This record gives sequence, structure tokens and C-alpha cells, in this order.
Amino acid sequence: MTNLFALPEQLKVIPDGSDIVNSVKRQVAPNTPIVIDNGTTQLRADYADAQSPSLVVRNEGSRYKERRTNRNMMVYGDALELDSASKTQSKIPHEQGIVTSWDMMEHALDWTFLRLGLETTPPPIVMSEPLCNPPYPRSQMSELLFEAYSTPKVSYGVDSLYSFYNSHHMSDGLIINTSANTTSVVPVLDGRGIFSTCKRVSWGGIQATDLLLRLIQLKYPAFPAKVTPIQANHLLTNYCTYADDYSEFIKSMEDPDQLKKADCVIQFPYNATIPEGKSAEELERQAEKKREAGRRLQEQAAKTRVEKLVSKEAEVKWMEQLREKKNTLDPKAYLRKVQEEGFDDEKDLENFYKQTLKTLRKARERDLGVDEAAEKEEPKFTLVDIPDVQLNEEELKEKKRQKLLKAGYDARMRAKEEKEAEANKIAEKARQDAYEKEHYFDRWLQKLRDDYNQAVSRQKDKERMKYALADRKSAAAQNRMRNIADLANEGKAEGPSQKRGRKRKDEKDADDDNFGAKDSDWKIYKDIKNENDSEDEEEEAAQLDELEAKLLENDAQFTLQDTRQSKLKAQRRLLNTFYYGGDDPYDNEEEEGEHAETPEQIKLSHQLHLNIERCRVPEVLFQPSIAGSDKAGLVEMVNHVLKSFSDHDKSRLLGNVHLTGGYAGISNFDNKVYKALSPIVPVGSAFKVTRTPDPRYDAWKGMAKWARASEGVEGWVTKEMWDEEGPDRLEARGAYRHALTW
Amino acid sequence: MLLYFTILAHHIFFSLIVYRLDSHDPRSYKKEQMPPRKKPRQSSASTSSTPQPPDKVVDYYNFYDAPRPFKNPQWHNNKRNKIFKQVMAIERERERSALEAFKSAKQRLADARNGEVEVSAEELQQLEQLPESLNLTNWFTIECPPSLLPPAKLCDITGLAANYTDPRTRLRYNSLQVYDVIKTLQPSSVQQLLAIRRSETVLR
Repeated sequence: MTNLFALPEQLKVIPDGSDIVNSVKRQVAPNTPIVIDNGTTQLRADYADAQSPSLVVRNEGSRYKERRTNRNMMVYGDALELDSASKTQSKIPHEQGIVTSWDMMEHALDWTFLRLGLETTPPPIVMSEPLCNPPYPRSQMSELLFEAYSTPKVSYGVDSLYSFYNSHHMSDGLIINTSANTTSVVPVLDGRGIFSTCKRVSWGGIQATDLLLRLIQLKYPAFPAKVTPIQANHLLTNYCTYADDYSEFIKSMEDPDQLKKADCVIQFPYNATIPEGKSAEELERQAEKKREAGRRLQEQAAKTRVEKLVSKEAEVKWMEQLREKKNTLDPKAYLRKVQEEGFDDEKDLENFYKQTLKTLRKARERDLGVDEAAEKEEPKFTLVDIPDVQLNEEELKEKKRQKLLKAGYDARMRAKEEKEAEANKIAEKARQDAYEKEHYFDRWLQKLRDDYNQAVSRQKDKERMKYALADRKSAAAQNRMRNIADLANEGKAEGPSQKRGRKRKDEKDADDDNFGAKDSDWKIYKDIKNENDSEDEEEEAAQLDELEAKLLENDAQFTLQDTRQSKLKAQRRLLNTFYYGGDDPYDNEEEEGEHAETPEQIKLSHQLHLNIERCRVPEVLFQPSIAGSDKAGLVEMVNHVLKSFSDHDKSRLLGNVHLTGGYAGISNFDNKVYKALSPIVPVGSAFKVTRTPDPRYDAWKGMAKWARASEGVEGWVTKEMWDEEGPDRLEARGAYRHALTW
Repeated sequence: MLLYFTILAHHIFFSLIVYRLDSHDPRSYKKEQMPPRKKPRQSSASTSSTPQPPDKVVDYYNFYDAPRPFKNPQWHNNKRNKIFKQVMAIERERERSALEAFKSAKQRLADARNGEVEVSAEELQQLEQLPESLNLTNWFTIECPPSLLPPAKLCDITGLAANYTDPRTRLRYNSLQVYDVIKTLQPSSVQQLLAIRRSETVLR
């Protein structure tokens, strides 16, 4: 398979090994600002003189008490993954893009300063904030920075503006920032963002990841591995892409070949060892052992049988000798002799003798392999036909016994005859069939075809019926209920159902409606039976298979493509490609049984096929209705932003469309934006779309650049201002307004 | 005083372990010289009473006891966090009052220009500048309005174009073969599929 990709076994972010105490302090010039890009999912921080941030971690922390050692724990960033306790009790400082959890924010800042090796009060801090951050979180952040850390001055700015500043300095442009939680469009003129006309929707990487995860779960409900959000995010960023024209894309995907081409197979890690698997040799050895044991047992049984036979024969000999004495001895002495040997009397001896002889004969017969039942001739029932009066009491008893025996014997004979008749009938039918086939082939073939078609349509009808009965309100289900009611009312002459339905025909004969006279009448019981009679179904399927085999053999027009299975396969080809990238690997599962799990099958079962989803998930940004949102798509958003500008300014903005944000890294995003926005670009207007190679660190780099540059002189709030005026006045007079905004 | 020593002992112990692990770093010496941070948390007593060597990897990343020389020792956050909804409520209120201030100022400006009320020249100038100084942009105004385009109708199972809708489940589907799949679906998965486009049945 050409597009098979393995999912990394470890998708967790593992900390780089440098912990708090070992953090190496870089020598920086005094008063070099610390730049913190405080994103929803990622925290990036370093001194402003760095080219790129050295601290890049997940913006998530955890504070808990270690159960066993009773130690207080405080962990931040990727190190959370190291322990299950820290993982489960983790919290993020953000909620829907703005900071709400201030203790967690404090931990984040503590951690950042510790990792930067800060030993005195912090230098000036440049901090990022969401677009149009409400004053409340801003004042909270200021309080934290000024009161808890005694920062001399602070500057807040919007990350997308910083990103734009990093690439284009103080020029014009239109920022499309698609980050973890939100996507926003900000117009920039002369390097300053115009907030009054910018727009934002709540769709970003987190929502897209969630959508992809849910789609995967619904597509493979029985997937053996648990797909985590981190894995889903990996799939989103690596395998999802924007379709230039989505409607065209899904139209092309209706062709299974095209679908197969777009298919991405993701191999999840799996354990290929079959539990308690036994090799073929081992199984063979086991079977041999079993056979050996059986043979030994048989031998032993034969041996005991022979021994018994010998002893019985000796017994017979001994008894014969005893009986011979009858001729030589007088009766009394003989009786004594008999009683000496352990018998009651002569009769007892005779009985025992007969019995032993009988068992001996039977045993010999069995040894010779003679079937006693077949051998047996018709037993004689001598007394059955003699009237009772002519018999004495003993004979009467015997007659009764014989009668019973005769009844059993007769029944057996009848069954045998019936069996034979049945076999004859089948043979006769086969002969007839063969005869017809030989002499009237065309007619025979036509009949075969008709039979097949009828059976297929019957099966289809049955399936349709089954589906119809599943719905309580369907006509079929209602009809069935009526029939049940009718049948239940049968006994009552004056039932209301008497006037309805089946019985109307025979109303003249109200007492007896002749129900059951026709064989088809009894079908109604079959109709109202609602269970799946799988036996019936199996039988019919077997019959159909037989007919199919016959047709395949004899009908030149009936090829392998016409069998039900291949027809079904052809019919399901698109869906099979959608689910399995080709044929259904579970098609023949039933025949093989559930124990036939080969390593290959385990491997296949751990594969995800991403095809239509690859474009379906990113497309939501342009068509939010795919995810059920009534919000505007990106193109409409840009339209909203542009409509308040003059044609000249529109041209200035569209001449430099800047794509940034953590979610903007998805492949083909720039092309898609170009294609999607082209129709709304005024004639003669400049139009260019750019995207930085790694949009994630753009904002931080811009912040650092701004902090280093001369523009960074204004746009600060100092601790003196904070102490003097307090949060409300600072807010009211717009002291926080950033230098990069109008 | 005893407490102080135990904390100090803990720190020395901890940093010694770290030092052993990474003896090239000269800074780990420095750390133990530093006085421990005075913490407002009461819980530190119990932790330092029985210092134990870290036995898990995560312990090396624990910064609970790390000294924080950059922090104001008097700082103690005892405020309760406001959840997103509360923050939005505050913002909503701010938006309302800003709008009102803007409206009344506009009214007053109009009145002054008509000569209905007399205002000083200074105030008039202030009123004329007001629209610029009042920031009416906030968290809500930048929220994008709803789409005016007709929603796309896509197959709920495959994502292809949907030509049909199943009246029983309300699922959209592309073709007969997808309908065969829909027929086999349990009601719960039908709801999950509908939830993808937020059309599931919500019980209130």
C-alpha cells in the first residue's frame, strides 16, 4: 500500500530533561524584557534577545498532593505526562480563549520565571492576549504581574498583530489568524490593527480535532485501540488538507478509484502475538496423542472382552458338565449337586445356562461385526391373533408383551419404508431433472433461471418485510397486529373483528369460517411470528447457493459477476473503499470462525482509513454548516471586514493577506484561501496570500522583535501608573491600548 | 525555628540529589545557599517533616518547594476565580453602560448644537471628541454574524453530497448503499451522527 503511515508509538510530548533546578541561566543584558506568548494550548516564553523561544510547552499545569509520600506537587507543561496523578488533575488557565483560572496562571508564571533562572524581580514583560480581551481578565493579569511579581512595566498585545509585525513590519494587510479556539480576521493599515472592523468565529484547532475524533469514532465504532485527542490532533495536522473546491472534491470521491487514491491508511501500534497460540506441529502432536490414547483404550476393551468370553465359555462348559450329570445321577442327588454348586434348583440352572449362552452368542456376533438388528428376521408374534378366551393367564401376559413389541416393530418398519420412499422420490426427481436437462435443455434452463429469480426476490421481500416490521407504525407491522387480534378473537363469535378482513368472505357461515381448509391459511401463523427464524433463512440461503452453483455450471450467461456475493461487493464497493480502502477484510470472517485471528488481521484491524474526512474537517472553516454551525465561513467573514473600507483600502488590505496561528499549518491552506477569496477581490485590486513556514512561533518572534525595536517604546503600563490609577482608570483612559493598534 | 531547619535540610537534601545527577551545573550549589521562600501555604510543614528522595521521574519536575526570589513574599491570592460566563456577564454590562454613555453624550451634543442647553466651550470640545475616545469595540461586537449562505447538505455517514434524507432517522445520505448502512444503525449512533451537525434530539 503506497499511502500507509504509521502512527508514532509515543505521541506524548516528553519534557526535554531540563528541570527547574538545572535550568541554565542565559546571560542577558539588564532590563531585557521577558516575552510570553500565552496561548490557549501552548505557552512560549523567553527573553526578548532570543531568536526563537526556548520555553515551548503545553499551557497546562497541575497542583496536587502525592498520595503515598504526602508531598505537595506542582508540575507545569509537558512534564504532566510523566505521572498519572498529575495528568488527571491538570488544569488549563484558559477558558474559550481568555484566562479565567488565575491560580493556574500564577503557576505558569512561576514556572516560566524559574525556568528562565530569574533571581530578582522580573524585567519588563511583553504578554500576548486574545483579540478584544475584556478588561476584567486584563486587570487580573496586571494585578498578578504588578502585585505578585513587582514587574516594573507590562505591555499587552494581540498575537496575530505581532505575527504580522514579524513578517511585514509596519505595512498594510489582512490577517487571518486561525488558532486553537478561534479564527479571526483583522485588517491592518500602516502596521496598526483596526479592531472596530475585525471579526471572529469560534472555530479552531481544538474544535477541528474534536470533530475529527468524533468522525473516527463513528466510522470505526469497534476500533480496538483508543484514539486520544493528541493522536487525533496529530492526524489533523499531518494528514488533513484543504480541498481547493470542496463540492468538486466530494463529487470526485463518489468514484471508488478516486476515493482509493485519496485514502490515507494510519497504522496504529498493535501487539501481533496471538495469545496462547499453538503451532501446527504442536496441534498435530496433540491430535496424535489423542488418537494413541483412543487406540490403547480400544485395545484394552477388546482384551477384557476376550477375557470375558473365555470365562463365559468356561462357565458354559462347566454347566454343561453339570447338566450331563442329570442323566447319570438320580433326581434327588442331582438336585443336591445343583444346589451345592450354588443354584436354587434345576430350573434356575437352566435359566442361567440359557442366558449365558445368549450373551456368549451376542458377544461372538459382535466380534465378527454382524449387525444383529439387520440379521434379525421378523419376530414371530404367535399369540397376537388368538382370542383371549382361548388363552390361560400366562399366555395372556405373553400376548400383551407381544402386542407391544409388535407395535414398536411395525412403527420401525413404517419409518423405514417412508425413508426409502423419500430417497426414491429424490432419486426420481434427479433422474427427471437429468432427463429434462438432456432432452429439453432450454426449457430446463429457463425453469432454473425462474427458480433462481423467484428465490432471490423472495429473499428480498423477506428482508424488506423484516425492515418494515422493525418500525411499529409501518403498514406491515399494523397488519400483523390486526392479524394477531383476529386470531385471538377466533373463539368469540361476536368479536368485532368478525366483520373485518379475512372473514368477510365466509360471513354466511359465521360459526365455521373454514379456516385451515386450505394449506395457505396456516401461513398466517408464520407471518405473525416475529422472531428471526435464522434456520429458515439459512436453509433458503443454502438453496440459493445451490441454484447459483447450477446456473454457474450450465448457463453461459450467468458468470461469476452475477452471483449475489459479487453483486453485493460491487454494490458496496464505494463504502468498502470508504471504510477499508478496498475490499472488506471481514467479509469471510464467519467462515473462518472467531479464533482465526492472524497477525495480518490484527494489523488490519488497527488501521484507520482517512479519505473524505481529510478534507471534510478542515472545510468547516469555510462552510461551518458542515459542523452544524450557523456562523459565517471565512469568505463571508472577510467580506464583512472588507465592506467598511474604500476600494483603495480594500486593495491595500487584499494585497497582503497574512495567514497565521497554530491551526494555519494545515497543508494547502494558502492555496485554498487564495482560491476562495479570488471571487470577492475587486477587479484590478492587488491580491496576495502568504503564510510563514511555521506559523506557531510567529507571534512570539514578533513580540520579541517589537520589544527590541524602537516601536517598543510606547504601549507600556508601568507599576507607578498601576499604583496611582488602579485598574479601572487605566482601562477607562485606554492606557492598555497597544502601539500596534489604532 | 525548628521548622526553618527542617525546610533547609530538605532543600539541601533535594539539591544534593540533583547535584549528583548533574554535577556539571555549578548553579545547583548556589541554590542551597538561598533562603527558602516564605510561603503562605500551611501545608509545607507536613511535607518537610519526612523528606524522601524522589522516586518518580515527575518529582524532578516538581517546583512546589523551589525558592521564588522573584516573587513578592507578601503576595497571597485569595480571590476566587470568575468562570468564563461571569467574565462575559461583566463584559456585557460594560458594553451596555458604554453604549448608554455614548447615546447620552450624543444627545447632549445635539442639544448643545441646537442651543437647547448651554454648555461651556470646553465641554463642547469634549463632547465632539467623544465618539473617538469611547471604545465601543468589545468581545461581542467582533463576533461574526450568522451566515447568509444556504447550508451544505452532506451525507452524514460519508461526507459526500447528500441527495436524500431518511425520514425515519432524519439522516442525510448519498446513495442506496449508504441507506443500507443507516438501516443497521442503533438509535444512539444515529443521534451521535446527527450531533456532528448539531441536529440531534435534545431532551430538556
